[in-house]
Amino acid sequence: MANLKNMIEKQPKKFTEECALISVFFNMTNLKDNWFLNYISPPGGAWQKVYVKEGNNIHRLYVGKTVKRPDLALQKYKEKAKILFFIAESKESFESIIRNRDKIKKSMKDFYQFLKGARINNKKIFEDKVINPIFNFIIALDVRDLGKFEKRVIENKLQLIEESIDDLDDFEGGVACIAVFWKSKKTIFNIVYSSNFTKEKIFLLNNIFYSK
Amino acid sequence: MINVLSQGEAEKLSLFNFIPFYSYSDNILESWELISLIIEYSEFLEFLGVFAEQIDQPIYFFKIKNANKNIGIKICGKYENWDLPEQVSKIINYIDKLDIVITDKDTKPILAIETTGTANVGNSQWQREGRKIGAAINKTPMVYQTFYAGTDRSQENDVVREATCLQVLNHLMYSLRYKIGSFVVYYSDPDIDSMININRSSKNGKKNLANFVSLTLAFKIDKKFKVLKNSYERKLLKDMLEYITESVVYRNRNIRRIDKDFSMFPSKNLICSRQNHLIDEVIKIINGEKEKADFEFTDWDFSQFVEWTKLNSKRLEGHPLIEVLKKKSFTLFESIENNKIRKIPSFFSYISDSKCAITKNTKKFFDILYNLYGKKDYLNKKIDLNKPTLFIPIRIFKGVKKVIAGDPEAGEIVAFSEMFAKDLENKKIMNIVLYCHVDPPAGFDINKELKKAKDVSGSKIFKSIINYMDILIIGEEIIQWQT
Repeated sequence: MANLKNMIEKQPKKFTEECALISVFFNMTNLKDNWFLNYISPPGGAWQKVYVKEGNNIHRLYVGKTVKRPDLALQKYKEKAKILFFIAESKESFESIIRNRDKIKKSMKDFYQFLKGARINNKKIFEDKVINPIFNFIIALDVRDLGKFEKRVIENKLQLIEESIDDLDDFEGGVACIAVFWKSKKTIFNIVYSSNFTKEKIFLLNNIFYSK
Repeated sequence: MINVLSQGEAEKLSLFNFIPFYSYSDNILESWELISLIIEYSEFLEFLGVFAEQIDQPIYFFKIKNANKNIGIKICGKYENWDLPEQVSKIINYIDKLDIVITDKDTKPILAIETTGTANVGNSQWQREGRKIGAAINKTPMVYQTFYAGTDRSQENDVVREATCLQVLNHLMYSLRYKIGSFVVYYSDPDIDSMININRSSKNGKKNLANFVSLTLAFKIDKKFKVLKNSYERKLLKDMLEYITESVVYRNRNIRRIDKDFSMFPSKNLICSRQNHLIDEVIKIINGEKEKADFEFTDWDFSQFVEWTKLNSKRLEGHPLIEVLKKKSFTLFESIENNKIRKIPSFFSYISDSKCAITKNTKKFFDILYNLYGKKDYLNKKIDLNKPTLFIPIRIFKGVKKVIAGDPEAGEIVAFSEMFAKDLENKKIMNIVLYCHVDPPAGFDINKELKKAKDVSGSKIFKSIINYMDILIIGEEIIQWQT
């Protein structure tokens, strides 16, 4: 037990935007579901590469410097002819999302259109498919060492998100904000949905982020 | 989806015969990709599950096959967000940060890994040498994963180019000089390979890398894995040597790659015809079974080198030192056997337009530097007139704002200095003169930058400079610096 305890006790200095982004990514692709990774920043390889899955085929797309990319894009086949793209931008705080809202919205929407209209040999890859986006913000809440103030801080942060999210929503299908933080050495997710977010997608994300 | 362990299951696995490792990395994904590779390809580690209650710092559990032991690898990315063990800090801050350093529970580095999604071609081919040398100097085995071929982004129309031999040769130098394993593992990209009519489908770089990392960890725990680990070291070296001796088409002829890229490399015969012996020697040296190789890679025959024509290039045109070097000839005439005279050009290199050059006429070069820049006492202290001199023109300042930029020069200084200026016993055999042919911005304080280079906060270009230079010229001035 001491071995595992020692490994767990070794902790980073703070909870960062990268921690939050990776937590969402790992959860959706490895731990709780098996979404396919289209793109993530920081990329492990050449930053221009994006991948899409068509059936059992994986296509590599070259994006180029002019297309702005959000931090995370994932893909899932809902049924044979129905595809979901999970598009997310992560920041160290919700205030940062608000501050950069126009740029963030543009990059997320543009990238979704890029994926949706992806072509190979001049032919649209997803021509006969129904495609839906799930737009998200991911924010890191660093609530370590707050002691008795922790609950209050988290509630205040979530309240800000709840009060503001509809004002940030001009996305197709609504937008969700996934707040990520540590509590008692566990990763916790808390999702706030805009009013426009469909029930079906709420059910989908709740299953991934709230199930034990 | 992978097998997720509860705390109870993870505790059970870590109770007995369990050894922890830590994977520190430049970002979390680098470690995750490596571990995913091990899960998919390793023939020596059996994946048991992941404990990920803190999802961004998961602990992966493996069983070592044929041994009654389990290991756990905790991902600790990114470097800045952890209190790094001192040895890890030394490796990543020597010149440039590499991707992953794996340590044991006592924080001793076991293996360093650098990965890339592209081939090293064009301007970036030596960019990462500063990362590799940090591992070698700090006696940590290192693997560099790259691709055989890729498109050169500095060229239009997606020209496909292949990595040169110098990459493999540099790694062999590091292994022999620093007596620690330094390997390249190449991945093939079928799309790119098909564009140049090459079939590398038999190569399995991913499996080799996964197995080598696995065996390095296994050997750390149980010395009975020595033979297997050595067999993989042999496999990696064989692949490296096969790459540099494979046949390529050059000027309508089929020749060996090493003959195209570096025909005058000493001990080329060993590389081409006695590979097994070369591999045997390297394996013995990196495993501490032999002190010195029975060959030398750096007994250069300068008569085989070609005249360096980059002196006349547009890029270097107009810079004071270059213009003087162009005008002055310090061709050497040497007597050789049978009363013949051999002409050695002023500057020569392994290829005519290389980014570095060597002169044998150090005396004349010294006189030119003194006439232009003074500082005779300092030059006398730093330059050994009996040695040839390696000359590397560099840019430090780039763009309109003249910002300090490390790539690719930080890596190039390492690559060329390690290739030419030291012997396998790590003794200097050449002077190194670095000439920055881009003027610094107004108010630039060189001494401040050189002082900072000794710290973590220093830039990689200045770290590279202080570790290798004998003479540094910036802003048409010789910088007096005590290393």
